[in-house]
Amino acid sequence: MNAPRPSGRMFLCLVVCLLALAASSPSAHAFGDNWKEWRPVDPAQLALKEPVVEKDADAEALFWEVRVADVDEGGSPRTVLDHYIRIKVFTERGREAQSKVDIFAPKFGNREIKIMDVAGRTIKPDGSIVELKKEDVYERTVIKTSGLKVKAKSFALPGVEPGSIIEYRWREVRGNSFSNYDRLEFSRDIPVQRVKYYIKPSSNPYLAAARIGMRVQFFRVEGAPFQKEKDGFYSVTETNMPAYHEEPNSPPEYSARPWMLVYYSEDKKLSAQEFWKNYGKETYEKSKSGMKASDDVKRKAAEIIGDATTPEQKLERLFEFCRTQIKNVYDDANGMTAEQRAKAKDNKTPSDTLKRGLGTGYDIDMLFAALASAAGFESRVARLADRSDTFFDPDFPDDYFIGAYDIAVRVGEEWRFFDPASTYVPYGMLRWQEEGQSALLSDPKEPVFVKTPMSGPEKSLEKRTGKFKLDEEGTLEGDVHIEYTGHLAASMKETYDDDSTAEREEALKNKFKSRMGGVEITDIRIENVTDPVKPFAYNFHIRVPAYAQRTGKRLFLQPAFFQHGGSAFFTTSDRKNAIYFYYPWSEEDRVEVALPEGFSLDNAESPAPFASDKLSRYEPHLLITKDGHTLIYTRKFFFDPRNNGGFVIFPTTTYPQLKAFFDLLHKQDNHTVSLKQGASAPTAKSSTPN
Amino acid sequence: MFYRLIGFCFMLALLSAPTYALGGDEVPAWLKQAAAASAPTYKKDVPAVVLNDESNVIVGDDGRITTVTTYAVRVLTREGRASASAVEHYETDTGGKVREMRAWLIHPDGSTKKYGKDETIDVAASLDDLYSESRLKSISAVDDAEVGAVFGYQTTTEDHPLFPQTVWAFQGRLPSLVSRFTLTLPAGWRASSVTFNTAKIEPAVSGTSYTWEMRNLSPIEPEPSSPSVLTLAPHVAVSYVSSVAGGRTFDKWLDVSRWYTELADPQAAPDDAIATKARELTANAKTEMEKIQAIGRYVQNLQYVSIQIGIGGYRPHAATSVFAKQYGDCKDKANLMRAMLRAVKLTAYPVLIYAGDRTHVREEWASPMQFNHCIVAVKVSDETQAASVIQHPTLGRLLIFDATDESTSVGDLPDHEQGSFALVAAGETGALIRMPVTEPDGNRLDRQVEMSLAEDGSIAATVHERMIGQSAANARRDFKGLSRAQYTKAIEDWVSLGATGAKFNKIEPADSRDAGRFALDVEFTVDRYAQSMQDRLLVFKPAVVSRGMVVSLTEPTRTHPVVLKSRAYTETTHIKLPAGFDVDEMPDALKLDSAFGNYSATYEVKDGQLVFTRSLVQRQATIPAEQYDQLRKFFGRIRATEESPVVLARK
Repeated sequence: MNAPRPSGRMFLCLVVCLLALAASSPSAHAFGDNWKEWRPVDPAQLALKEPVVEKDADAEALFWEVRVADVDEGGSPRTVLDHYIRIKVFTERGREAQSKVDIFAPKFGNREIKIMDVAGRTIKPDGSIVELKKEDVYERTVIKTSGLKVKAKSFALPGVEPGSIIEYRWREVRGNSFSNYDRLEFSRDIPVQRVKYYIKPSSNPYLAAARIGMRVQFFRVEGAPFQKEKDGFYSVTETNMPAYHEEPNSPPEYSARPWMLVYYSEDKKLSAQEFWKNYGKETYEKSKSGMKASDDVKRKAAEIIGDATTPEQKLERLFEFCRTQIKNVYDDANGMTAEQRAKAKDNKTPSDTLKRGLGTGYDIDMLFAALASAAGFESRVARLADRSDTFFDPDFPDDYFIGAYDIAVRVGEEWRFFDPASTYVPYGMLRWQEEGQSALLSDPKEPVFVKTPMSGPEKSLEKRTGKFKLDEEGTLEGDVHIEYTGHLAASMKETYDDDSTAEREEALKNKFKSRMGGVEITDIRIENVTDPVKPFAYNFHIRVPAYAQRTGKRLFLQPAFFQHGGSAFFTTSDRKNAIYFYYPWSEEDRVEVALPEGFSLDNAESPAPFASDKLSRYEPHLLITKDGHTLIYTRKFFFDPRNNGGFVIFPTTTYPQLKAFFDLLHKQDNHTVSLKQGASAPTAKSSTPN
Repeated sequence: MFYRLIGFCFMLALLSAPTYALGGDEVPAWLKQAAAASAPTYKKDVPAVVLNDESNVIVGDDGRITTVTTYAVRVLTREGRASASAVEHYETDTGGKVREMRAWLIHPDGSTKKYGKDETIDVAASLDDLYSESRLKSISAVDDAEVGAVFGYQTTTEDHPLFPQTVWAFQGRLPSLVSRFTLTLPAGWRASSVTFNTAKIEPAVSGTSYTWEMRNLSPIEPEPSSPSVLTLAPHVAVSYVSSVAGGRTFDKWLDVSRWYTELADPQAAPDDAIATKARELTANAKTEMEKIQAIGRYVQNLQYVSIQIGIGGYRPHAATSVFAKQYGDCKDKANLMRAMLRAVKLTAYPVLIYAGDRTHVREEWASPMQFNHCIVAVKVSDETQAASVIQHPTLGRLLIFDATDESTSVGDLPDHEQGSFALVAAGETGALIRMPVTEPDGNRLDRQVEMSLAEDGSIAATVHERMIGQSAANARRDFKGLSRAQYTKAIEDWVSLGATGAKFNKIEPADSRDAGRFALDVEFTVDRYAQSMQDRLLVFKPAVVSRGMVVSLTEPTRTHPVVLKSRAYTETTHIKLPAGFDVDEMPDALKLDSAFGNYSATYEVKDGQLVFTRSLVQRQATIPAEQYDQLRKFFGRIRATEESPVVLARK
């Protein structure tokens, strides 16, 4: 939730640019124009009938080369990227997707990207070549507004048909910047046989004097050693890169596809451990004054704490004060207009935040830290990564990934983590993106990484109850209450807090319409949508015609009302990516159905419970009241990926087992019971409802 | 496509809209007055109400126009904030520009904010086109507006339209208190109008100014399977002309035919390369239809790429250029096809049509602005028989074909074009005619399911689907539009809806586009498909996969008509029952005959097998809202039947 403040990394970016500007001088480019020549086409490539890297691909890049050069001669510092790609098209779909090309060139403030020297051609299956004419490359302004202009160069390769090879190249010049913290990818939307990056770091003497040099870090790929090339370039090559495929429940993109981070940093000759130690100390020094408790903060802390005696009570009151009484200026549902946001003044101290009752996420966290300090707690800023972007690896000695802030408070021997700026995340929890993460605890002497706890499934609960009447035609009608807590509630609130009542109701209706034909939902009340503390809740009346299927003498009823018409969690038999569950969750259902007059259970049995060690448990129970008139179905389920070796990712190899598990769950949820007209006393389990 | 034609203009007209002189940056008097207006109470889901929507068009002697638009909207709900934006469309190639764009927001507390150049965004109107000179300027106050706020804007635009015609939509989906369109012509000019979707509106005429006005318009709520809002909103189509100087006019459809023929014909001349290719493609063709198929297939396979420069929104690129580049848009493809057919001595004409809504084009107003798409009509002899052949009063038999729709074969026509009015541009013999409608049986899906049910409830099943016509075209669209992995996933998802945990042994699509057929064979097994009850009963649904032809009518009431497509479907499922079980209960057979279509479902036990059949014939029709209840019951009964289970009991 917290917006990053200027960090060491950003400061370094500034230094890199300033030093580069200082050293710029007019002279020629340091590299030649070899890339402007087409390479000979290997007849074997032309004859290729099927993709090499991935079966069934519609097109495949035979090679993809990018020459990245940070240049400061002949003008201002800039990054020049020369792109050259050759693609084999196998199908019409591949032609449609690959032969029309848009290259965008944004200009924002003094940062401008220029596209030039676009060339392309098609080598047809018979070896004949059709050149892309210059007049067939169109330039257009895609968008123009105050401070931003995006142009595009667009072209369609001529004469493309399945079996053709297409290739095109262009030069991209990124003005007033170096290639600093750029993410260079090794995979595309199609598989790539060979991808090669040539990289030429800046030779700026000022950077060298400041011992600032270009570095590279590989992710999701081993990273072949760099080779020295001509003209000051270094190259790295990867081969047989599969296409990146999007799948549900996949890890974040940059934790699933191969890429490298290119950045400049000072060579301090530090190990990762030493780097983080220094960084933790710097963070402590920078944040120390910002969490200082002034007299008014101290008075407020005492007032909030009131009669609380335990550390737990005190912290909870301080936390809830910050979460509920201080408005987060960047919360889209705080009622502020864009105009009001723009006019909001900066808070310089926690005292300012307290006085204005308004602040950024960082301000709110720092106020909490100051209040906690005032109450006698030791408080620190903790820096951590967002696992919706990538999974953090402390072996990488750079602060690029740890943009988020939380407040760590010592309680006894334990550090507890808090983020009151995240309005909808309850006390004792962090945003799911920050749970189970290595957090760097700032300290004047010994900063350490501490793992933030991951909340258990009981903290994120979907609790549903329904009380219905079934008529003899199979129509089910009654009242429903659904509530969400923890991460589930936070997610629902974030989704709907900015919507109108009508939109929220429409979304609810659609959720059921897609699963139950002819459903009618009325008397909708949606509660606590923007309430930071109370559970998000739905209350409504529902009528579902033909919910139970009528045959001549029986009615077939699915007791698991809330799962009716839903599809299985995983449907495809094949899986490319690992499986990622964001956080543990649980479900609790209670469904009461008053049976139609004259009907009773016909040899009904309860769906079977099952479990997978501590990872998950499914517990359904089917009961009938002693008078035989009301069916009571309860269902408990949890899924706790913490018990997967403490990690929320499951390797692709486990997909068949996971799929089988969730298929079984779906099957059990679809369990139906038979009701028979005129049947005698119930033969299923009888019990008095709870 | 003819992106700049009526659909687009109309849509913008729906978004925009009134005129008064303005000084300074203060909230103008017209906006203050509009903001003071009280509106009726609407249903709670109506997001906003248009308080004033006015456009004043002044036509110069040279045909150039200056338009001053004023528009005011009050936000009624949070989602209604989306209405707090100004949008103007302009064409750079015809000298179009937005000379002025200013906006104001009046907060409920009376405070105001003004918007001008710094808040204006200028964007390309279509990112799909490789190049286009059609652009949009807009100002958004969406983030600043709250419920109760009034947003208003005033724009001045200039243009030199290609035709002396225009359309004024009195509303979009939002209710409107006042909607007014004024056209001021030079002396000696005159205007005429046609009214759509409401009683005829006569303009108030003052000198050479004509004013059309409507007040207190109700909202047009979105409903599934309904005609587009363009077809439902009241609007006037206006034509104007100089009585003195004359100029291009479209008094009748023949005028449009002449105009387009002049524009397109010179582009359709084949060169040697085109002629050689056409002859090569048709070398083995034995019949006229085979020649058309060979050339149609070739043109269909060219890549769709749209480049709109100058009058390029209407005039096709030269066939020779399209042939050389192997890409083009709808009119380019239709034009190249004409050229190639000409090379093999077949005559074809461009056909202007509206893609996406067959109810859109009205015959009362002759105008190219009614179209957004171009297809082709091939003159054929009696030997050529196909569902898409029509009889033209003067041109004779014409085979209609859409060379842009890669999924529809020669002899067939996409759903959304069937039954629509379209203009055959054939010079002096051209006319607006109704496009053919294929019979439901010509768009059939036949499914055969063989299923073996074991005592433990598991099944092994094979599904064979054979499709023709638009059923095949839809299946082909999915198949071609998705990668093989995505297609496999889509089929697995579809089967898994009814058969959770299905394990697939075979998913085998087979496309025969030339024959207008598509086939799909799927083999799968499912554990515990049938539910066992105390080892005595086995309960299962005989409809193992969903019909795939579902009309979703979930709301209890309806305001607008329901548009139905022409379709037919049959399924026969043979289920081999486990030894040791007898059928204890089966659903009742169902037979429905109605004006919308016919449905039947039967169940029969024979030789240890349960045979389940179902069939549906759905006719192309636009069903009035008054018949909605009957229609909903028709599909509701079908759904209930297909959900019904069969009960087996141990012997």
